[in-house]
Parts: sequence; structure tokens; C-alpha cells
Amino acid sequence: MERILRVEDLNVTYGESTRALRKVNFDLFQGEIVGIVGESGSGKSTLGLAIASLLALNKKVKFSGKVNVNGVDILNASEEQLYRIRGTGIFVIFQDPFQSLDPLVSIEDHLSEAYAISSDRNNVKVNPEQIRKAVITALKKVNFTNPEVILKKYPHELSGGQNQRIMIAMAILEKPKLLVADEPTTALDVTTQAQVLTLLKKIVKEEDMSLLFITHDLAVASMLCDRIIVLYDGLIQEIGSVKETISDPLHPYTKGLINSIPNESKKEGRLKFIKGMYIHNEVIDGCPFYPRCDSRKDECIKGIPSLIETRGRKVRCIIYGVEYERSDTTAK
Amino acid sequence: MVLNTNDPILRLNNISKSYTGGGRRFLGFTQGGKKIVALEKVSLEIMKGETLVLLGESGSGKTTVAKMITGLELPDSGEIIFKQSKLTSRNRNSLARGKIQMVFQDAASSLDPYYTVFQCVSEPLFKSKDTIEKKVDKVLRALENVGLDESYLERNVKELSGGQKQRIAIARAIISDPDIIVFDEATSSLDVSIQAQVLNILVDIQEKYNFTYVFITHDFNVAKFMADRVCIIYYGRILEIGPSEIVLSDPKHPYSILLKNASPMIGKEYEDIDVMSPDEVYVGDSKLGYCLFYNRCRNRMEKCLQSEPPLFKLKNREVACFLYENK
Amino acid sequence: MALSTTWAFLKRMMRNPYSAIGTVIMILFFGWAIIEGILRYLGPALGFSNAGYLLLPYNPFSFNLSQSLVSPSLSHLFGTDSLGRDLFSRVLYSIPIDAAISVIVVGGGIVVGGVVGLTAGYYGKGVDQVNMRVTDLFLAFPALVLAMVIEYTIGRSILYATISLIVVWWPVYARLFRSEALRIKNMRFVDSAILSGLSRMQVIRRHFVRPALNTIMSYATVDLGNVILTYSILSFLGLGIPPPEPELGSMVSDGLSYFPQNWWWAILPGVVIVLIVVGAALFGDGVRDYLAGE
Repeated sequence: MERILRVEDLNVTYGESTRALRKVNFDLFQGEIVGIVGESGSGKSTLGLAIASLLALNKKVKFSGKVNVNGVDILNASEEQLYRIRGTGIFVIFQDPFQSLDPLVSIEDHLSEAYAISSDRNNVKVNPEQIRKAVITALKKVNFTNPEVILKKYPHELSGGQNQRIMIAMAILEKPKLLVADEPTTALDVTTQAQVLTLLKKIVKEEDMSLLFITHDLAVASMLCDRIIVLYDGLIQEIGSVKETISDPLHPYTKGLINSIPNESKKEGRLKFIKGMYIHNEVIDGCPFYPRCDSRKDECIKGIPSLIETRGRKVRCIIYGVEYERSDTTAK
Repeated sequence: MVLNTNDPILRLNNISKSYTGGGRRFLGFTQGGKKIVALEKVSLEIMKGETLVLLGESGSGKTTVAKMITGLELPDSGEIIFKQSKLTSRNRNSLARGKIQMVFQDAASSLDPYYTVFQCVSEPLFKSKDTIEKKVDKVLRALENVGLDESYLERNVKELSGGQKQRIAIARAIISDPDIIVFDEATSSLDVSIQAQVLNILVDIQEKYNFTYVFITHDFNVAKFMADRVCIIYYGRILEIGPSEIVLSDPKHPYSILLKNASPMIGKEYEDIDVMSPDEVYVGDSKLGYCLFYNRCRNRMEKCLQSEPPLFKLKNREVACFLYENK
Repeated sequence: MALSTTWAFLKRMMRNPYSAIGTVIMILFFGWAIIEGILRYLGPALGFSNAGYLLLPYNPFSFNLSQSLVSPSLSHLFGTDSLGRDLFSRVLYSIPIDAAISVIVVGGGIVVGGVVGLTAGYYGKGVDQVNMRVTDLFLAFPALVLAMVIEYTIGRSILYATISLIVVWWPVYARLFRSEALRIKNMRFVDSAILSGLSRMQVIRRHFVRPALNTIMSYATVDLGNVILTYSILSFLGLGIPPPEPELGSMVSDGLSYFPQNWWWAILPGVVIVLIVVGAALFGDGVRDYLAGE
């Protein structure tokens, strides 16, 4: 299987000392949907920005490591290289489609532009008729029953869910290898979310893209993804296939997260929860989950546990073997 | 007057409420503008000691119901009966204030950023003639109930986290021993692990003090955990109402079924999701005289277009759908 | 607590060179105003009738015709006027009055504007219409002209000058407070307070004043300089305190007749006015950044 994305030793800090990501390593293969799951402060949005090659826009950010997309290291790429890869190489769908779509540009122009760019980069000449045909096909693929009407509209005339589907249609037209979706359905109603996600999954499989899906909602990730990466305090805590991770979570944090989702009625007892709370930039020598962990030991704070392989999955917890990261890699 | 468990503590009778959006303003008067119906003839009863969950999506009017219950706004028509007297703009201050409390979604704006925790939590006691020691005592008890200790008393609320703020808001809501507490999406902006803590606290204090909750949420799983009774609303209409075990495990209204199927559940796949687009979904115009879910409904019939279905009584619940007209 | 916050505030202000300059000017200005004010008005009560002149190089009122129109030197930093009075002493002597007027006018503007603006924004509808149309009425006239007319009509004195300045000063604050009230009204803590049974006035008092003041503070600090400028113009036009009391504005206007030969008389008091206005503006910017960072 072709590897689309490889993140190697990615460290990101904001300013001098606010850590966002620490030693993040993972791969994403062709046709795969990988979910990045984390609560607030986990660094998931920073990871999204890094992969969308938008990190360098913020002058205060310091980063090291590599993010390889199709063989291009986008963290250290030139503006020219980035220009070539944006849109047709990586396509990003953000939480708020109203900010991604230009309010003064009609849906037709948005979509035509997307198709024109991708044909231009593939050195294919297209005439307006072909563009229009492609655009309408794309709109039909994202389940608009009357594409001609939608084409004439402007983003503010459509609902959040419809705009998010326009974004997906743009992705179809640009044909990127890698689609990054950063909380694309968080602002939507559950019924709309279900539609958008079902659609997203179908499109990714049909168009043979890969999807990196960033979310705070483990349940949503479990319904959509093939693999899940659990982030806590900028560290990957667990990587595994959805089925295994959900039915048999290895890391205590993943277990806690799954248990925290209400499942039964209050008459059947209380929810199992993770005690305490995440404190941003708290100084902890060792496992960042230590203060909240139910199965903590003294070994947990002797160093940051390594991400070790066990049963074909990866987990960062000393229960599965006492191994620590070398101290020089634990960037502040 | 003593209320039995069987008496409704608050009753909404045929409440309608609409807002005007848009329009031109001239010298402070609004001309034109579109009338948006937020609630249309909604009747509800809230029983002492129960948790009534209002489940709905954005635009369903669930927040408007909260405003009606708390008396923050008055309905255009219909009446609100609180403990057997009608709530009006005259008497709501003496009758309901301090007795109906509310916890909001947005933790950041629900507490005055210039207040200390003590000032925040003790504010509902401002009328009482308690000594300061007694007030501190009450505040400490309320804080203890939400799992916070006395070290929080003098802290400034703006330095607290979202979860802590929400606990402070709950402590503040329970300190005046209210008859009803309305939670408007009170846990939806919290991380799941924090949400679980807060939900447990809510259930614990309800058991301890027999509080009456109206819990507004869009989250099916949270509704399932909290509810004794559940009321599913859609564009200002009640579509289904009944005991939560029955309604949530076996929903009858096509919208309730869609809601259940669309709710993310761990380790489940989306099934039965109509990928059919809700392009022409009704956006709260005015009385249209037909079932508002018609456009999205897979069981739609000729009849649904001719009149709006009233709530039909089934064995344990009521459903506003012609499918259940003669059952 | 208060002391450590002040210290943190000062440290923060010193980080940026501009706000540092503003802070130093404001500290010098108000520091001097307070010291001199105490000496002048508390001294006589304690039996020291001339305490007000204690820290000044010369008595600001005593004529010395042999020293008239001396150009600036070490013995007369700002030179002397035609009557031989030391201008530096006269400038120093005038500062407490300016400081007091600026604080009273801005304070008065905040109180009046706060009441009008907060009630307008919070109650809305009719109250809003009435309050804001009255405000517009006052805003329709140029502030300086209105102040001149008021003072011309009711008479010339420092009290009347202050009152007329407050009359023209509050409408801007009413507008600021109204927009703040509109913002705060949407905060959930206001609903919570209403549900707890607080009356509307109590809600305004407890939950609107602090947040609104916080936003308006930086504007108010910049405004201190504006008041001093406007007051100086009034006194320049002869509507300030009657002579022989020294006034920055009247010194400039008196000195103008000797300009340019005896330039220092008009220029140096003018420079002091500019310094104070610029200092207040820089300080106000610093305050805004500080409050935003908080």
C-alpha cells in the first residue's frame, strides 16, 4: 500500500514554552481513514495545522521534525512547492465552512475554480462546458438533488451542512491524495452530521483518497475511521485499528474516554469518569496522564514512557513494558 | 400548599412565541421583517422531582422553552402555571425569581468575570437576612455538593477552567433551594471526561435534594442518561413525549428514529441514514398547516400535507404523526 | 494584593518604551499635583499659610520688575514674564488645578454618561430612545463652543468652567456605556442574576458597572489629556480662573503679545500642555494593552 503521509518526530511549541505536540510519529496509507482523537489541549488542531502546512504562518510557533506528504517535506518546503501541493495534494476542510468559502463568490465559481486548478496542474485543457459538467457531477455526488439551483447560490444562502458538502465537492474536483478534516461536523446538528460523515466516508472510498479526521468525539471517530490515534497533552498515547481500540483499549486514558460517554440510563448507575482535569502546560516529569490515572505507579513519573508495540498496536503506557523516551527528545 | 409527586410543579398551556428577524429600523421602530415561529402551541407539564429532557437540534425552539419556563421572556399566547398560579410580567418577580434557576451552556459568560466564587455562588441569597457566617456555610455546602472545597471561595472566577465554572454555576443554581433547575446544553461545551463528572454530580444532588430538572440537550446519549421523561421537539413543535426508557429505546416518530440513528455511538456504524438532502428543510416561516418534517420524512403520506398532525395518545406516550392516528 | 497588582501593572507598562514614557509623565504630573495640592490646601489649615510656595523656586505671584522678561536660564528655567514672575513656578503652581479638573470632568462624564448610557442600553426601547436622543442633542454642538456659551451665560469661575466641561463631556461616555451595556446584556450572568431575583437597578449596579468601566478605562485615561487641552483653550480664551491665578492656557495667551522676542513665555507653557496630552495618550494606550492582556 502506498504511504501518503508520514509524520516524523514532530515537535511544536508556541512561544518559548507552551508545548503543543511532542514527538509525534505516524503514517497514513492510501485509502485509509485515520482519526485523531483528543480533548481540548491535546494538540490535535496544531497537528491539523502542521499537516495543512499552515503552521509557519504563526511567527511564534517553533517546530522540528518532518511531515512528508507524497515525498515532500511540507514543514521545510518552499512556498512554490507548497503552492503546488495545496488543494490538489492536500485538501483541508475546517470546522467552519463559512470561513473557508468566500462570501462574495458563488458556489459555481468556487467549484469551477477548484476544477480549473486541478486540470491546470495535470496539464489538461478544459473548456467551460467540461468544467460545468464536472461541477454538476460533483454536486450530484454530494447528494444535491438540484445542482443547477445550488450553483447560482452564495455560501451565506446555504446551511452549514450544505456548505460542508460544497467543501467535499471541491475536494472531489481537486482530487487530492490527502484530505484533512478538522472537526468538520462539530458545528452541525447530529442528523446533518450523520449525513455529512456518511457522505465523506463514501466519497473517500470512491475517489480513493486518504482522510485524516480530527475530532474531539471518540464515538464519531469510531463510526468513521479505520485507525485511531489518541492524543493527550501533545503525545500520542495509543494507535490502533478502530475495532481493537474500541473493544479493548490499552491505554488507561482511552479506557476512561470510552467509559465517559454516556451509554445507559442513570438508573443503571453512574458514569465512569476520568478524575481531575487536564491542566494546560502543567509541569509533569513523566507520563502527562499520571495525575488523572487510576492505575498509576511510581514508574510512570521516572520519564515519559515510550510508544511501544504490543499485540500489533502501539501504546504509551508502562503497563505494557517499562521503557522511556530519551530525555533529549522530550521537547518542552 | 403541599405538592404531591403527581402534581405538575409547572405547566405550559398552549404556549406560542415568535420573533421578528431582519426588517428595517427607523427611529427605533422596526418595519417589515420576517416572523419566525419559535414555539407553536406547546403544552408541557413538569412534575416534582423528575428530570424532563428536551431533546432537539438547533432551531427546534428548546432554548425558547427554557426562557418560557424561567420567565425570562413571556409567551405571545398561552399561559404558564407555576405552582397553580399564572406567571405574568407583574408577579414573576415575587413568584418565580430564585425558585426557578438556570444553568447555561457557555461557561465563560455565565459567571461575572469580576466576581469571586463566593460572590457568585452567594448572589441568589442576597435577599436573605442570613449572617455572613451562615452564608459562607451555605456556599461551602453548595460547593461541596459539586465537588469543590473551600479553597475555591476567594478565587476569581475568570481563572477557573470550563468544567470548574460549570460546577460553580450549578452550586449557584442549587443554593437557593429552587423548585426547578433548567439546564440549557449545560454540558455540551465540556470535554467528555469532564462532562461525565458533571453529569454524575447532577444526578447525585438530585437524589439528595429531590430537585426537579429540565434538561435541554441535543445529545441523544446524554438524554438517555439523564432523562426520566423525554420530549422531542422540532421547529417549535413537540413531536414525541413520554417516559425515556420507552421513547429513547423504541422511538416512534420518524424524526425521533432519525435522531436515534444519527446519534454517534461508540463502535456502531451509521445505519439507515437518509443521505437524501434536507435542502428544502423548512426554516420556521409561519403556520404552514402541514407536518414540518414532511420534506425529510420517508413515511410521508398525502395526509401529512393537508393538516398538521396533533399529538396522538399511544399507550405510554404521545406522538405527533399520522402513522399513529388510530392506534 | 493591591500593591502587588500596582507593581505588576507598572512593570508591564515599562516593557514598552512608549507606554513607559506615558507612565513617567503621568506619574510626574499627578504626583506633583497631589504633593503641591496637599501643601497648598492642607498647609494653611495646619498653620503654615505659605506651604503652597514651599517647593516652588519662587513665589508665583510676587512681582519683581527688575527681573522682567528674563530669558530661560538656570535660575529661571522657563524665564520670567513682563511682571518678573518666574514662569516655571507659575506652571508648577497651575498643575494641581489642571489635574483636579481633568479627573473631575472625566469622572463626572463617566458618572453621568454611565447612568444615561447603561440604562439606555439595558432597558432599551423607550428609555433608549429618550436617553440617546438627548445625548445626540448635546453631541450636535461642538464641545468647545457649547462650553464657551455655558460659561459665558452662567459666569466665569473655575467651578463654572468645570461644570460646563462636564456638560459637554458626558455624551461621549453615554454612547460608550450604551454599547458596553448592549454587549453585557447578552452575557448569561445577567440572566442568572435576574433569575436570582435581583431588580433591574441591582443588576446594573452589580454586573454592568465593573465590566463596562474596564473597557472604558483606557479611553478615559487618554481623555484626561483632552480635558486639559480643552480647559487650556478655555483659559486661553479668558474663560478660566480670573487672574492673577496662573493657568497654562492664559499664560500662553498672555505670552503671545510678547512673541516672538520673548518666545519662552508663550511657548514653554504650551510645551507643558502638549507633554501632558501626549503623556496621557501614551499612558492610555498602555492601559488598553494591559487590560486586553489581562
